[in-house]
Amino acid sequence: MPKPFRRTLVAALISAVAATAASTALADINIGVSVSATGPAASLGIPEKNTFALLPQTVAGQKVNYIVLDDATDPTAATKNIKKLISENKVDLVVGSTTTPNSLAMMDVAAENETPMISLAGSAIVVEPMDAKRYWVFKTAQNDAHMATAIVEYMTSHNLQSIAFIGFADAYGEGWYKEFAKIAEARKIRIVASERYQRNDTSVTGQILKMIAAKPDAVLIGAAGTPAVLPQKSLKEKGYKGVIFQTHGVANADFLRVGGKDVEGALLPVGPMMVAAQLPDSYPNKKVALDYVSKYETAHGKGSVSAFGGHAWDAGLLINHAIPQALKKAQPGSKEFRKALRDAIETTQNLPAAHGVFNLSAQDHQGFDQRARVMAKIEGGSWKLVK
Amino acid sequence: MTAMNAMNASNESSAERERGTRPVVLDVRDLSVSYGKVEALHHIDLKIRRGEIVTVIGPNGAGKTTLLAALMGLLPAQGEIVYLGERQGAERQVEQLVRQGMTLVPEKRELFGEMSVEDNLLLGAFDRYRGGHRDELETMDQVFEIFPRLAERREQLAGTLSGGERQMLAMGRALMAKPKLLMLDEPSLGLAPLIIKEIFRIVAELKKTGVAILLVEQNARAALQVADYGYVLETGEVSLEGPSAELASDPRVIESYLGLGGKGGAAAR
Amino acid sequence: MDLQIALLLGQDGITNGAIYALLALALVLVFAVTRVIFIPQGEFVAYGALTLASLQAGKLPGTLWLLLGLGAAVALVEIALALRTRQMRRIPSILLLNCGIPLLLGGILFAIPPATLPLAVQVVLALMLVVPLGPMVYRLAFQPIAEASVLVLLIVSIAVHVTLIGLGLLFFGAEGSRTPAFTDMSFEIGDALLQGQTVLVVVASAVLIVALYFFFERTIYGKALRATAMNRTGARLMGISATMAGKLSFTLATLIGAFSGVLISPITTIYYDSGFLIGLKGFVGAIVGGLASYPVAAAGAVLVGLLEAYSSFWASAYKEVIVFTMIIPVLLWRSLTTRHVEEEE
Repeated sequence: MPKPFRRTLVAALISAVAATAASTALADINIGVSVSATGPAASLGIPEKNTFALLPQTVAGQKVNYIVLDDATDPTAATKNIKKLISENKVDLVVGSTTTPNSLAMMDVAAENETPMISLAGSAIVVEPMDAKRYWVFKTAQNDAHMATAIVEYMTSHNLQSIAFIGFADAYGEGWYKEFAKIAEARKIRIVASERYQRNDTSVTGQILKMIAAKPDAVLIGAAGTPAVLPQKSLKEKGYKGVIFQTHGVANADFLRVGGKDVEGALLPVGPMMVAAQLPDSYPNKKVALDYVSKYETAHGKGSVSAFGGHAWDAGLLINHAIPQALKKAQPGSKEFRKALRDAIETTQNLPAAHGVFNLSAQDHQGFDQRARVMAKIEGGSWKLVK
Repeated sequence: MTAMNAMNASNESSAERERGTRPVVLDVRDLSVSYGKVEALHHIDLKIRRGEIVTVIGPNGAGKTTLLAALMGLLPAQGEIVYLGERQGAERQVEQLVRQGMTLVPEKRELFGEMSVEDNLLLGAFDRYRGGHRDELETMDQVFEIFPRLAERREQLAGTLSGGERQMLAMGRALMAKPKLLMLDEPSLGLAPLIIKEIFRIVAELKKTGVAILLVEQNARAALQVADYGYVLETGEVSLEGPSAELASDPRVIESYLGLGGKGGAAAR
Repeated sequence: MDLQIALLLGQDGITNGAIYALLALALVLVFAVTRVIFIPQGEFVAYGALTLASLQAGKLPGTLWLLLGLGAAVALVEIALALRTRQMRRIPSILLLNCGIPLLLGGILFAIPPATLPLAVQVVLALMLVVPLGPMVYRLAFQPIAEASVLVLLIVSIAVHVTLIGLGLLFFGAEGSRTPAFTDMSFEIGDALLQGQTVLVVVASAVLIVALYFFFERTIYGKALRATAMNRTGARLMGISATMAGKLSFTLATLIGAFSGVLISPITTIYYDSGFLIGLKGFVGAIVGGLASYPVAAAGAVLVGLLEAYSSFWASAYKEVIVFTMIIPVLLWRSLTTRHVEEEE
């Protein structure tokens, strides 16, 4: 992992230096990127990092440079990165970071320097509620609420009336619980148990037994990545026969590798990209999603694509869509260009992307709707679209 | 007193005769030890031959225990130490010296209190075992012959033994290593007179096995009775030396270590 | 809570408690012999599990590079020492032990694809890769400062822990791994389902504990380790060197750690940093035993496992809080009942 990464980093830095030196003549567009390519969120950050290398180098006749830095899943490092990108590399826009805490840390710097920022993190609080700071911040990943509604919809249409929740004892688990409880209450679904566990726990037997004792129709596991395997494995061992929901936080190959046959049959909301090939041809973003999947898998091997790289790709699509409009108003590298870029992104309409269709507004800096998620089932070690 | 002197005198003559011919086990020249800037031992010369008991007597704090610690490699020392005809390097290690047959029975005994008598003895043979010898059980039987009391107590924990038994165990444990040089630090310390007598009888008997014994004692009377040769250590220096009988009749020794009360150790304390 | 749930929780608690007990024993052993509070113990749990997982995935485990690197470093230090003290004849054996054997192991891994080997051989290979790291770490990090205070040793111990965690991330990545179960057997007891793997963990832990008991009570090396723990000076005078005792205790502790990792990796997902928390719970058990008594430490560790299982049922969000808060009354009780023991002799 580190070697090819260092090479791309060096290449990016060299091109960045070259670009700044010649900026007056060519007026390249510089995009700064900070992702968590190492540390606990590395399995999310690595595909994101890989994706920037696949984005087009020229847009509307202008050269676009991506300067990619690693923040090691550390909010302090993310802040340092964005300060460096803005002051030294004079970037026109910043993409990042992978996680919600890192994105929140970067947001302050972006707003202060009036530089638009596109976060790849999951939580809605990155763009809500709208205020002076979030004026500059956009986000490509679906909000948890998008995903939670998919689960609730599935439950009501399949006559599942009660659910037990088990989630991380941290912001991810709490966030999911809150979003889900809000929507579930509105739809008259009873939450019969709510349990927490640690990412590093070696056993969740106690929680699972308590949940099973409450006899829920379904279980929702509010966890991300491979630690989400443990509750499902324990549920199966203890003989739970109901429906098990996971969240989109598990949509990567590592989860399937670690989970193996223990996670078979789990239902989860995912971005349509994860099951792009199985979508009907009429699905609005099928073509765009398939395009990204094939580009990524050509470069990194079959089955290597993950939802997270898709968020980075969508950030690229938003930028590329906005650049021609911004160029009409100002020169890259100027304060005016950054503002124009921001305005152009905010008015994006009907832009099909890997994960959905963007319709942004002054109030909604995320811009996806119901088309941005579908229900998938884990079957035979892969994701199957639930029709 | 005179009778004792006479006995010592006869011992001395035979000891003197043999002293010149037996191989030297330990030859110490110009040994100095310092704790930081304070020099605790100054320019000590000392010689021990095979099958010989050499005693070092002197008051509390004269540096007797320091001398043994330095010889055993527990403390760094300057000077020349020749052991079994080989000059010792600067990095003397306790473990290495144990392997070469040097053992120390320390003043505090340093037993393994939560282990049985048998296990304590067994560990005395640890280094021989590690070196490939498998005769620890026979050696233990020999030790039990010397100390029948230990045989009775073989299952008992060392920490529950009486003072005399503890000393016997410490000596027995040292003998398990089949030493060439046995160093005893204050074997009489804190023991009842009867037990002291028993211990010194055994020390005298050990001599017959050919082991060289360096006996450090405050109980000068008892020590000089069993020893062939003696050194008097005062404030880190050898103030007197000579065959035990000569020392025992030296007025300075009588004055300081033997004279008062005639009770030996009690006088020196 | 009905009886069935209580039984299931008890079973879960004993399974985890058995692992914690093993680690607690290793911690007590290392502390008693070397006065090192062995924080990196947990990393060896993770290394054992992840090395086995790598072998099963047909990948070359990163621990091999660590073994080669540490082996070379130890060889360098030892050869420098041998040159200084003019003990040239030691050099070939130093090279063979620290470089030759790891290279041979690496050669075997290159020559035979490890994924095709039977599970038992994979386990042995994984242990052979991880266990020598323990004495090597002792040689490089702790032996030069063996006489330092407990606090200094603790600080070095934390440094080693942080280093090993970082290397773990580098070798195995941020994502976890699980290994297939040693057995798919399961037993029905009443309504409850008892997993074969769970039984295996408890049985293997019990066997290992009995084996350790025999090692300490019946073998001269085991007795030598106990002797060093009881009386360092006395042990030195018997020719039991502190270095040998230290290396031996680290080897045993690493073996116990890596073996625990191998045991639990089919039950739960192990990450590069999972070991720390597992080790910490063993540590709580060891603290209950005052870092001195083996049976009390083992009992304390099983208690931690049970407490953890039942508190995860009653108040899952506060499970860790409950487990670690347990230290406070235990320490309070110990400080009131036991007399203060001087740390240095």
